[in-house]
Amino acid sequence: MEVLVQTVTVGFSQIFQPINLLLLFVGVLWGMIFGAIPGLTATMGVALAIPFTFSMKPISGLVLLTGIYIGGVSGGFISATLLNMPGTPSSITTCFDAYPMSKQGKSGLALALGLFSSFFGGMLGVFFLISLASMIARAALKFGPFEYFSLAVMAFVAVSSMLGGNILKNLIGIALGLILSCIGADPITSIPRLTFRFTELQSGIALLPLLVGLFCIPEIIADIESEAERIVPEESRGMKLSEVFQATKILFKQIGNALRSFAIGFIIGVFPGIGGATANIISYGVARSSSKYPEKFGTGIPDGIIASEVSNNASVGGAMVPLLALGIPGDAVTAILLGGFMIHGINPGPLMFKYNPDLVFGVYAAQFWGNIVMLLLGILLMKFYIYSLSFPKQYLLPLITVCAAVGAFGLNNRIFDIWVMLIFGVVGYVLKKLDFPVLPIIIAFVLGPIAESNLRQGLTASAGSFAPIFTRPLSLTLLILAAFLFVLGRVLVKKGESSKC
Amino acid sequence: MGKRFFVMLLTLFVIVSFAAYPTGPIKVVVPYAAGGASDVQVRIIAKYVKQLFGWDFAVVNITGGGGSTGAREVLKAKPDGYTVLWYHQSIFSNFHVGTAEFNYYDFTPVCIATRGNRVVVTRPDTPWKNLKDAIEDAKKNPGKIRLGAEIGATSHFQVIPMQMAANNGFILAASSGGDMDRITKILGGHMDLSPIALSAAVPFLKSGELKALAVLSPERDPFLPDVPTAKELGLEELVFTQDQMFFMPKGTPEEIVKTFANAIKQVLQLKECVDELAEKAFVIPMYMDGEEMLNFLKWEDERFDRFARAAGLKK
Repeated sequence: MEVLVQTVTVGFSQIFQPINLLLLFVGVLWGMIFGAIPGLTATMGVALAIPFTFSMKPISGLVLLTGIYIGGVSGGFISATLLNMPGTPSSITTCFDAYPMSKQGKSGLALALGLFSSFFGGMLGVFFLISLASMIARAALKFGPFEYFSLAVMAFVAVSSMLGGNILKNLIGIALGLILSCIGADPITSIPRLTFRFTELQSGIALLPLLVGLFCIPEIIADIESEAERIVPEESRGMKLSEVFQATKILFKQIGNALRSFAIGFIIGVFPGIGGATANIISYGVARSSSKYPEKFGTGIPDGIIASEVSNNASVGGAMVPLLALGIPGDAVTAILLGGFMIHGINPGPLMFKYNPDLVFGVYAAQFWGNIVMLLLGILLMKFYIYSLSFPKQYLLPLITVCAAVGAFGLNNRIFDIWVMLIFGVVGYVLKKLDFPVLPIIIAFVLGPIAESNLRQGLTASAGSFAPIFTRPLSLTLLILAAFLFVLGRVLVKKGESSKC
Repeated sequence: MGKRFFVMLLTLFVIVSFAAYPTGPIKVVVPYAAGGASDVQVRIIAKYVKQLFGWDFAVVNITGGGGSTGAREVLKAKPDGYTVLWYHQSIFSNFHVGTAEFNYYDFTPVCIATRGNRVVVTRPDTPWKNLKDAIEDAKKNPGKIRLGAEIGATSHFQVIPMQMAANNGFILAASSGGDMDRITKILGGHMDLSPIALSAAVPFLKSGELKALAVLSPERDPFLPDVPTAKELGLEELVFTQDQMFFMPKGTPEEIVKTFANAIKQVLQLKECVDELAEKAFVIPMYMDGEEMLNFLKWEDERFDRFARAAGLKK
């Protein structure tokens, strides 16, 4: 409670200095633009801004970076909704319902839902971060390699309900994703695997170029093939006020879905190394398998947008927890944020509350106001976003492709990553034509390494015994949860089949 | 007339381009993530290089492969002094376990700049007062105590002498991340002790959440003067430091190497720079170049080779 009061008094007085307020606006706007452009992510937006913060006061730098982070994660829904391209890995599943909804002429509602879900997830995340950070971070320490492994197993089960259609194709996709994730240095021994002596492959294939390749490039080619002159029709006029109200009403009606998605996103954010991409996939999967009408998912219903956008923004608050309390970054963006802290000589972690309390409260306040600014900018500038995406496609598509390539390069400053993007772009296009789902590939690629690396780390620590998977209470709980989700999924499939008859 | 003018211009250009290195920004490849211990140090040095000489260091982070991905980018770069690698003892560990196909002699060593120490830490509730106690405990109760390291990385080499001293009584627990990952695992009780970079460990040592068992430097560390060195505890072989050094691609002209090394030497004599390195990265300046540096590299390389063979990492 005291922390909350301090945040309000100390933190807010820092934010309301004109320069910091301005930086917050600039940061959120910058972040939203990065988030909305496929291939450019919050991670890159933050990384690019770090040099600018060198000469700033620490608090100003942190406000800017926090703003970019918040804007970047939420901005992803815009391109997902309008172009069917996930702007960031955290909004893969946003496409599934937001795009069909927008195709039905309800793009304003879809955008409003994305925006308010983001706001809801982000804001609630801030409250949990402020009130419980230190406690949650310490509880999360109990999570060891075996628990991570069981979590990955549970995640696999949770998302399997999303993979409709042909089982064989899905299994092939999962196998392909797992094989791709094995390329590069072995997570434990660092011995190169499946590199075929290409030294470029020794650091493996990165998620971002693979994702852009499989999801965005085929979409770009499909847009070229289509007859339409513009991807986003010129007459789309942004969100109407009535749609904004409708969106908030839907959000309140689905508060159960929103809270569950928040919990999933926040908790996944807290655990280091899992990230927003996993959060939105799992949340969507769980929302679907616990829905009364799972068959409607993917056709453009609000439930899917809420599940995805609440959870990925919730993971922002979650990822800040271990960063501030322990100095351990929860995901790629917080790892770079940590760099931004260190450059100013601030070591996040147990001593930060003692030595730099003002900064901690400043960051809390920046999170709080960052979300409000995000909502404001979203409402005010949505028209502008839509306008810029409604350019004739001969201008828009090359621009997106170039940005995607820049994003792939910027990830690790290597040309090789652009090739990965292009090659998987062609692969993705062929798969699309063959009606072969790419989602299983991404799911296996994201979850596979978490399962492998943690199982093997756990086995080294237990001297080769598998028993702890079942004897450690948390790990067992997760496995039981996985079994429960599996049974639930089967029941739903049965129900779906019988209702069709 | 025109021809002579052209020749003159060309001569002038050649002279200028030789005399005035650098004429543009120098790309400094950090093979680790932004904000990590390596990165913070080189950015501090870059700041003072700019202040003193007006040179621009463009710090580029290329991660992956335990540092070898970024190192490889420099290996392939043009040897013109405009691409520099900022690396440490991982160059030896990566070569001797087989993650990298190149060693220090595939580059032009420029200079060593800073020295950071490693400290073996544990939770405060363990019964050991120092590293010796932990090793004795592992000897008496083999297969109980989990000694953490990143397999194939420098931390792995640092635990090899401990494991040998304990007659293989420790369980070698693997971590897939760097220092922070092992700190997390020790705090959570998934691992019992591990060598960690001082910069990562100090906040936890100060807050009392971790306890130091020994530093691995040849002498006591100025930041942790109360912690004994492993050498003092009778572990003669257990001397490991993390020395940050600059490398250029093989075949870089000697003039350029000297100019660059000299600039670093002068920067490391600035009090502000030394203070900032101490405050933000917990490292001390340790300048070394030329023959002296080569001897040091050779000595380290032989030690890493020996430990890799002793632990069966290399045939």
